Amino acid sequence: MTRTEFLKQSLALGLGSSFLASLLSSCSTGELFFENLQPQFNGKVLIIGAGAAGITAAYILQKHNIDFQIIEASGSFGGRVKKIEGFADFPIDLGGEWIHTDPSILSQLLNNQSTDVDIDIVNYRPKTISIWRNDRLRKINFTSHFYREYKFKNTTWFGFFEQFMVPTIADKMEFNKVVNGIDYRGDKVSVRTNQGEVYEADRVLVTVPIKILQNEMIEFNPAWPQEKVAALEEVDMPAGLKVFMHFSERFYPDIIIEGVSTSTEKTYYDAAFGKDSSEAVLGLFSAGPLAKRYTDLGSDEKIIEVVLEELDTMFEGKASKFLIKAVVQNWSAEPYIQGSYSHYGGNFTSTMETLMEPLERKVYFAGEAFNPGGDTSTVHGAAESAYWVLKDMLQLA
Amino acid sequence: MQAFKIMLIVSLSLIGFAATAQQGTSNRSLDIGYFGQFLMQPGIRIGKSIPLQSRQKFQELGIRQYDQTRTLFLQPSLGYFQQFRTHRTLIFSADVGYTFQKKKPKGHAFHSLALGLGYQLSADLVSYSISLSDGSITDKNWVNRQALLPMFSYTHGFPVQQQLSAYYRLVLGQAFEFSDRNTASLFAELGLRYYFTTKTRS
Repeated sequence: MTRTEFLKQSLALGLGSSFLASLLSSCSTGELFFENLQPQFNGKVLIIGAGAAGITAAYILQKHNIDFQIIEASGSFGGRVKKIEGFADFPIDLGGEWIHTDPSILSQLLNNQSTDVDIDIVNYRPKTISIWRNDRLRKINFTSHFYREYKFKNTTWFGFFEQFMVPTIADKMEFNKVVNGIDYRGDKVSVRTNQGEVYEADRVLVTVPIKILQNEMIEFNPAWPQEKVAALEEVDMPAGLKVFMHFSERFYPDIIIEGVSTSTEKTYYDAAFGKDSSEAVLGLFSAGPLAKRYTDLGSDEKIIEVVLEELDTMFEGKASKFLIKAVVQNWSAEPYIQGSYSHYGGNFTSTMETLMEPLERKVYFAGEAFNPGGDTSTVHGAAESAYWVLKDMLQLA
Repeated sequence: MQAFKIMLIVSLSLIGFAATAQQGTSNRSLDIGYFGQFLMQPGIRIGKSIPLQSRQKFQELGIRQYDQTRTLFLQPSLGYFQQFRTHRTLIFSADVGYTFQKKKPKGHAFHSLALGLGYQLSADLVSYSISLSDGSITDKNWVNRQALLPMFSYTHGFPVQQQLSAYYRLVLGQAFEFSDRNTASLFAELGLRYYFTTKTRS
């Protein structure tokens, strides 16, 4: 269950339903496809994008000895999974942070019984929760009974991929390769970058954020079928950002919520909750119209200024008084991301089916927006989508 | 976990004592119910009702006969619920309230309103290790918390047999941990009430 869903369900629609949604969400992680991949394909796969889905796809292909190449537009892997070290006494996720399902998904994604590593998990169940509404901070601690999420204790989502998947595929990653064209008319798929380089492969897996597809930053030849274009328009990927502030004293509850709806959210949260940390680090996460207030400000300095003003109003000037430093991750301003994560409107199942339909069984799609199991908008869902897609892609020789 | 065991033993002993101490009186009953916080954290509650004072009213209105009893009762109880793998709560409580009971040919129908005070002991799983080879969990780190729990409850029962009623019970409580973690709770219960005797005291 995503945090948006949790908030929506527990605060707006009724508290009991969140439990069912959480259970259903957990069930989807038990899919047998983690063990059942039996490839018939032995050609070359080109993966576009080195985010959670791209890395996982490459990791799976490597395990099955299938030839592949992974190209990434930015200068590093991770996509919307990113970390900062040295800001506080624990590593901080600047992107995807929560584990929105049973953490056993981590072992399922690695699917490697010979690994001898344990990873520490925080059972994320904040106790002090407030809501900021009409310029008043109100306690809603009773909602703590419904939280059921997890976090890494000593590492991050980025660290997970960096430590356990990337080492096996690092030599097949190329960075700063901005794809602007995919031609799938011939037997092979031809992929062109903005520097004029051309890559050829038997199958191509596109894992770029859905906003990149919506903004037609990649030209497909032939063009997408009309129903696929229509399905793409059904999905929104609104503005999003995270801000972390390091304070000399803690003055805030575990969570402060402002604005809950299907299309927007904004939450201040104790980023050090459950971590091995003695420091006061407050995070701000926002997506949708509420995030746009900040992402449209133009600079990180202005964003910090506005956030501090807001916190000072809530806590009588304590934010400015105790601030040591702050960092902004404006996902909307990232040229190869351009937003937060997918929000599906309308009929999820049919939209998803149409979007996931490969182009002539040569060009496939994966990522956080492409998970037929329902766990869209999550890091594990993005990684899981690589399994969904490769199972389909590799079953034909 | 040691504290949990001690509370469990003490509570069961008290309920047992209450049961034996009141033998011979009327309308003693035992509640056993599916109990949980917001019905989503499954658990069980056992409570023993001890009537302290009863007043019976008999009326005939036409062909209809009304046999109503108002009883002041004390109910010590023990409740336990959990959230799968991550949370456990034990509540020892004592309720005092009134039961308004209508005797029907089939059995007992009743409403109860009560005020109670509970002692809540919770254990939260705060962190653990997970094996990346098979997903198994080790090194569970639990934190215990304690709270005083004043409660207000409403119970409505329907006759099932002469000595058995089904009931639902709603409880509003406020857990006081004497910190900023104080929190409100809504408990819900579906259960059966067994009457040791069908005789009523007039």
